[in-house]
Amino acid sequence: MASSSQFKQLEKLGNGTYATVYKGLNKTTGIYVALKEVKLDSEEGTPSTAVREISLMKELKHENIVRLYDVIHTENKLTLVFEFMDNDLKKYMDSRIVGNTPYGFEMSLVKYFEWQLLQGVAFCHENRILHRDLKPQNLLINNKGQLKLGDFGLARAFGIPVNTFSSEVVTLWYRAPDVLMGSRTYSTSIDIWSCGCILAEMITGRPLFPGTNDEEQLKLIFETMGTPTERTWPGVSTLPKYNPRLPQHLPKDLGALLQSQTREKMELTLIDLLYGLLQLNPDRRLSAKQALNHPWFAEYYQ
Amino acid sequence: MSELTRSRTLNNAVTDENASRSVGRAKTIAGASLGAQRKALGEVRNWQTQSQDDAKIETTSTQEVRSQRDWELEGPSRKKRQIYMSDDESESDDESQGSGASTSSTKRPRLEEGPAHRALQSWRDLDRDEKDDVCMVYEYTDDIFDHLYQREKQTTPTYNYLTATDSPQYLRPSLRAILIDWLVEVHQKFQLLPETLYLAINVMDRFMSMRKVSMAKLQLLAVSSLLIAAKFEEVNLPKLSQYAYITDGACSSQDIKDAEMYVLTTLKFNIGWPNPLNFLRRISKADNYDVQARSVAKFFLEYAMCCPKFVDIIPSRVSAMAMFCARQSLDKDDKWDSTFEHYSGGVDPLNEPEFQDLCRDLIKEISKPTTQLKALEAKYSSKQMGSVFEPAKIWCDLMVASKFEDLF
Repeated sequence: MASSSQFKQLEKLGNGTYATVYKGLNKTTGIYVALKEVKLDSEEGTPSTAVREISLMKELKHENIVRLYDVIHTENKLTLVFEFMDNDLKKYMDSRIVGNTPYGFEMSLVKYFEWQLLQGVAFCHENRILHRDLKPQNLLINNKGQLKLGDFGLARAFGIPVNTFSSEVVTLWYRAPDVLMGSRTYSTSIDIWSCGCILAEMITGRPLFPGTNDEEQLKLIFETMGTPTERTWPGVSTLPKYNPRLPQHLPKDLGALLQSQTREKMELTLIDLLYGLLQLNPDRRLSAKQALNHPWFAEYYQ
Repeated sequence: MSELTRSRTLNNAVTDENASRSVGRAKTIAGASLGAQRKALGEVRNWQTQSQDDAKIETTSTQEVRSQRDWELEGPSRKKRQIYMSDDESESDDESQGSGASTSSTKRPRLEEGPAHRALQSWRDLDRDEKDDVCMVYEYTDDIFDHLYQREKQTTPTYNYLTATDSPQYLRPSLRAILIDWLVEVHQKFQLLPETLYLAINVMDRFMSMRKVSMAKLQLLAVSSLLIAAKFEEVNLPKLSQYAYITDGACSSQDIKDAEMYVLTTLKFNIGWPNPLNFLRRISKADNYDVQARSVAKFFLEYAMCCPKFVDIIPSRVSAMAMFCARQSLDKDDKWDSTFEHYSGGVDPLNEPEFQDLCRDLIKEISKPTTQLKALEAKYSSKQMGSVFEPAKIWCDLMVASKFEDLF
């Protein structure tokens, strides 16, 4: 186990949900790291988020998941030593706003990032772990164009059959409609919805469904994807927060909608993939594995 | 300050095994109010998994029932024919043969490999029938279990510190039994998931197989292990103050906080452990989620987890023992076939003397316990748990009396 004196603490990188992250330098190896400091002054002892994040990340060794090198325990804090990444997807997208106009990425980059995102997600799911907080801020990138999943503070292991979990998960804009309607029987599909939202956001440079509260979030989703009915989504009316008096919207042409916000021509296969990831009914959403086999990614797997 | 109180409480309990309840009688007030709170939140999941399974049985497709019946009708000739098949095909298709005797490390053949392949595998693919049930995460089942079979080897104690009398970590089995029985009781009062109890026991056993724990600190270790397990598994967590309260003054919140960190760092935060319930549910698939077999198997499983004999046995094996004993005790006439073998991670009871010994040990232990597990017995005597204790115990007695006649 490393000791804290081995690292030189450099500038602050950001504030997480339950921790502060600094850039650090390993004085023995000269390698940069990210130091995530978790305060231990809580009345409840070690935060459950830290217990889960550390134990789950120790199981996940994959090139598209940020590596946890070490954990250092000192007097009143825990320091998690992570692989250093240059940037996150959110900051990288913001850096491309020109004037007030957001620009999406070149389509080849969108594809490369989404491919890596899905690889990381598939690996989590194969290891019975749900991330539950996928969003651009939690996707870290480096100068080599690699993308890695970070911040497993909301992650958890699941059993088979999957137990019911809290519906208070995932940042609002990336939260699946079934979870928004109070479903607690979600499984791997919860992460896939987020992957769909992130894909659309990389194309246009704008968040796909930027709601300000649960209700508005659902409204935005249904205005674009259509209001679900028992016919299109059997069982939807049994969800705890289902509102039968929702205005009935027909699905819009998602492809045309996104195309109007980007200059590059969108392939038909890309639009098909988006629909696969953004299925309202979680049972019909693609799995990460299926998505990786989607024709849009043919150049990677052929 | 509490050093004295703690050792006193424990010493009392230790000198009188019957007084084990006084180790820290789980306080009802805390338990009851917490229970009510959790119920109100709809977080009590102990029974929901059961009802999910019940639902599953009802929705089993007629097709499956039919195929199962065909299977049964084929009777004893089945095995023979398969042996033939694999003999014939052994040169042309090694992999399918290997999968018949699937071990934890062999990758099972994927369905995509076509109908020809399916015809050769000796076990029925029941995952496929659950393809449309999202909770069964069909697509990832094989990957997940491959991972769990690997992982369990890394997170199970490598030796039994309760039998290794020459080890510095050696602990008298009766002491662990007192702790476990207390944990069973607290776990029930807090209305936590069954997974949480087993994880707490695993955390405690792993710690004790690595560090010598003084008598005065045993209860502190037990309560901290439960706290850690709950943080990993539960949606709604009991408050730290409730853990302290339930020790009846033996451990303060600060004691528990310190112990929690000590346990976490000693285990290097490797808390993720393949819970035996995952394996039990998987084996259960092979008899179409027979509810009766499963509720009896849960008793055998919990007994195996709590008694001192199987601390170093991987959870997939403990689950297979539990299911095997449960089925034998219920006189299920369909034997442990290749489908059971497959879904148990490759356990073949008839040809594995070591596994047979483990089952005999478990039956002996239930019939003539070497440690007292009163809370556990009471729990499984309750209607809520299907009153399975009495009949299971009688069966174990009969087995021991008959020197395990016809067990295998």
